[in-house]
Amino acid sequence: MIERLRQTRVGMFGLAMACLITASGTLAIDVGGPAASGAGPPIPSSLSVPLSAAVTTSTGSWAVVAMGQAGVPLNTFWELFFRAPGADSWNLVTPPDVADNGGLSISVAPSGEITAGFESSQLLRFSPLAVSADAGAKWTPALLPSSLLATPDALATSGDGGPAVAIVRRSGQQVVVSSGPLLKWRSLAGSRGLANGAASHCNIDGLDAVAIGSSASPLVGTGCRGQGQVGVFSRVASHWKLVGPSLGGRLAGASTQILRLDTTAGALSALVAARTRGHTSLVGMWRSAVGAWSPSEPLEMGSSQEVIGSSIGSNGDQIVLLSTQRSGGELEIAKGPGQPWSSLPSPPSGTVTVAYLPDGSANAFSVSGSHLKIFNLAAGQRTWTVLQSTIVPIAYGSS
Amino acid sequence: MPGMGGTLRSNNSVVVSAFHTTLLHQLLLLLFFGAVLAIAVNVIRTIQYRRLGSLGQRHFPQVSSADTREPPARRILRIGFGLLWLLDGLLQLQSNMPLGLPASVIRPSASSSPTWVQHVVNSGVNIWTLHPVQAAAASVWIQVGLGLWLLVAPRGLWSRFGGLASVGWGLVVWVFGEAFGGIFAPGLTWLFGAPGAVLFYCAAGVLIALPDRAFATPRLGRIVLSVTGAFFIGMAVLQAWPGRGFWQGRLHATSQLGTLAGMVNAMARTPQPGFLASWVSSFGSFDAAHGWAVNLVAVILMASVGVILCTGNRRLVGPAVLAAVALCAASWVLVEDMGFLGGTGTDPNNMMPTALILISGYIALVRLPSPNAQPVELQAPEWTAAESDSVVPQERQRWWEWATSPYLVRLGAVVGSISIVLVGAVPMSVAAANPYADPIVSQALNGTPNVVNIPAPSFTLEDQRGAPVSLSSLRGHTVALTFLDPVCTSDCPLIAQEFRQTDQRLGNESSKVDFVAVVANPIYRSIAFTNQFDQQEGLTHLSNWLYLTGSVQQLQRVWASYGIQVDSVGYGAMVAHSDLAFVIDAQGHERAVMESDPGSGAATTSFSSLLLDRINLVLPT
Repeated sequence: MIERLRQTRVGMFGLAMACLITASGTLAIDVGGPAASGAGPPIPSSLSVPLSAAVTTSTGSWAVVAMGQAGVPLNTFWELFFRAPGADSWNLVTPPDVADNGGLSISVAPSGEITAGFESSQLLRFSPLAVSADAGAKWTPALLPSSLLATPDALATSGDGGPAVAIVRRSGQQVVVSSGPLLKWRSLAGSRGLANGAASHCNIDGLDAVAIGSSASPLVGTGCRGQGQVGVFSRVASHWKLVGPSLGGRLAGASTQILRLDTTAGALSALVAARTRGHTSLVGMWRSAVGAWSPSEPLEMGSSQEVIGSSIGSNGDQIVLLSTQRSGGELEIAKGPGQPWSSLPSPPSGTVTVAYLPDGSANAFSVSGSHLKIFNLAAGQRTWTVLQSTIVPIAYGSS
Repeated sequence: MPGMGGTLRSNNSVVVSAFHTTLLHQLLLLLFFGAVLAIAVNVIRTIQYRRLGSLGQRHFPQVSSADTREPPARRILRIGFGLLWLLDGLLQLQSNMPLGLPASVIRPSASSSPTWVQHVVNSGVNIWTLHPVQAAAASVWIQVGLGLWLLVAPRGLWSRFGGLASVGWGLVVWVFGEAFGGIFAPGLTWLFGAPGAVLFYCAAGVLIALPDRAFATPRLGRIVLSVTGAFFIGMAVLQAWPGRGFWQGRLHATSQLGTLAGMVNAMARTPQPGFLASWVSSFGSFDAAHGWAVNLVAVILMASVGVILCTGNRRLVGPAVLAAVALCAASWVLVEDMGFLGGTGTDPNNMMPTALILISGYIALVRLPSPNAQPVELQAPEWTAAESDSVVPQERQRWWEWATSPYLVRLGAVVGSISIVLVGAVPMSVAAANPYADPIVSQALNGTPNVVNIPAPSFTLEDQRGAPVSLSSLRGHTVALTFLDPVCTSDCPLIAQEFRQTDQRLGNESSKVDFVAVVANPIYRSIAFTNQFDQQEGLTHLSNWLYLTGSVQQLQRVWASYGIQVDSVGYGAMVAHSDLAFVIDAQGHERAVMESDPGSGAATTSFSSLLLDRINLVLPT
């Protein structure tokens, strides 16, 4: 009898253990499950803005193109191309002797002087810079003592030894400024400094972009959570002032993000992503000399769409290349205030950057490893034609 | 060249040769110790003979062990797991273990586990990576020693200690080598090896460490079978859980193989005898076609066996254990591919241990030791508790009156086995306490330093403060010289850290050494860059650190005189330059030229060990 009781007890013990093991296993399975969602569609997360970008000024067009092995950061090299006004081809002008597989941002000063900033990668903890006043023929080295933020407009220069401003990753994100030969930089503000300095409606959500204003004053673009406020701050008499507009209509409560901020065309222009529940819209914005902002019509992105590349035309036109199921992507251009976005013909497959030239033509950079094909879309045409084809010597595994 | 190479293959001849040499040295040490032990036993026997002779006895004490036989269930565990440890130890002899184990076995097994598991595992991997030869040799000896220990010590305290030692080392292997057997990773299944083979070794070790009286009733057998049954039920539930890919032979959406078929097919592709590959491959194809049915059979079998074992019903337990052992055998061959064939196999996986535990649990339930058997540890004197089948010492009996010949031989064998464990464990413990990597890693990567004695080419450049520095101005100090690109993203920061560590390891002697780097970039070469690099690498406060630069012409002269190649290699790529370091003595003579490629960075500090050795050879007294 005692034996049977013991037997039963051991059996119960076994069953209890089984329950425990099963419960643990079930818990382990559930750990990786998706979090419960709240009511209504969620607010889309911040857009990632690729460094593949182009800018056209009166002194020429510049394009930053990611080449090599896409998806393998160490073997993705960012190449810089220049096309002079009136020229019929692009030149490879990537600054030599410095690794750019962390990323490359450029800033073009009104004089045409270009500054390339290298996002630090691997064990490098600061960002080398390279400055050229002759369209990339000769480069002068400079540096940022911290890592440059990996966005297309993380660096803005006024050229000719004038002030420069950058966003770096140091204790979070900080705006730093230099007034000399880009070797010594001082901290200007962090997110908190911007928020404190300006009695703003912007609940700052990260630093996105910088530009140099008309009076050589730094401009900082930030994300703003909720309220439809566009986060553009200007430095006025040692204080930060929120100069960005508020979005209206159905974007009135949106969270915003500055994808591009630029003054190359003389006036300030911005590309803004506005995120509401379930939707992301892109809005081009232009600021007049008297400080009034004029937006384009919003361009609503598909839920699975991403920005592949962005470009700024010589008149401040905003061009975006969005991912699509089809190859090539969706190419949209906003030409000015109040105008709707207009679609350009889908560029060829593998396109990562599109430059918009002063004559109204567009050049698409299509990449496959080391092979680059540049296609041209003449103004008013619907067909892309091959303009240039080249192989860029890439040193795979060199970093 | 920075980033241009620097990876070690697991069959690197330098490391493999060092591994074999270390094993040979340790084997010689063991043979010597064995000889000493044999002599000691003979000496003891001689003393015993003389003492017995003086008492008028003509014969040694005889064994009478009829009532001190080891419980059968315990014997199965002890011999079974002893043989398994022995096999595991022999598998560790594979040449690619020192460099291959972390990369091919440990890291992959932890890769799908949560971050905290990876952190824990990495702490062990780190020790292995820093001291690959010692770690691999230690694994051989510890496991061989444990196996022999269990095999030669059938009863008594020494035998029970063997069980505990087995638990201790098993836990080390389970945590660091098997990443907790993958129990925190998704895709947990007994058919693939969960919860880690070594956890069964630990369970067996616990059972072996139990006193004999635990085996005297069927209770232990019932507990063992119930726990195993519970484990089977839990594993059956996980196996049946939807959405884990076990029910599908092939996923319809992607045409990819299901979880089990995928695993089996992967195993079939590893190097192994042709007939085995054919069996495994056939089963993989069968599962791909009939995944649902295969999983159903597996789930039903596991669940049924589990429930029966939990009930402890004597009539059903026997067939259930038989079925479970058959399932273990089938899974071991067809799913796990015998566990150790192909790749870097370290053990035969979990099926054999599971079967051993099941069989011993069943034997413990149905076949009890003779009721006359006395727990041996109650009889043995405290200091001779290891004595197993000896004559029971009587009061006032001297050791030479009761120490039998088998007892002495067995005691010698146990001491020998423990010595084997210690020959692995002691050097490994000493190595683990050293946070710096063995120089062998750097030598494997870069070759042996060239020993020279020629005047070092002179130079005059500018240091990071703008002050002129020439090689002759450093006369009287030993100089460690290298060439670094201040905007290099990979090797140069690591080499700088190796120099910094060498400086720290020199202690007071560091005042006799200058650590000098010359810029290896024709464009990014200004003092602003050398200062920024120093700041990045924490070198600014090192008084004996000099980072020299100059004009392009000056730099090119220095590069040429030291044979340093500096080339632009592509658009967007950093400069490619030779990774060389020179040790220059206090009289200005080059005494060693060393490749300083730090490799993948996995075993940093190895170069500093090598550099330290070379500097110590030429330090001024």
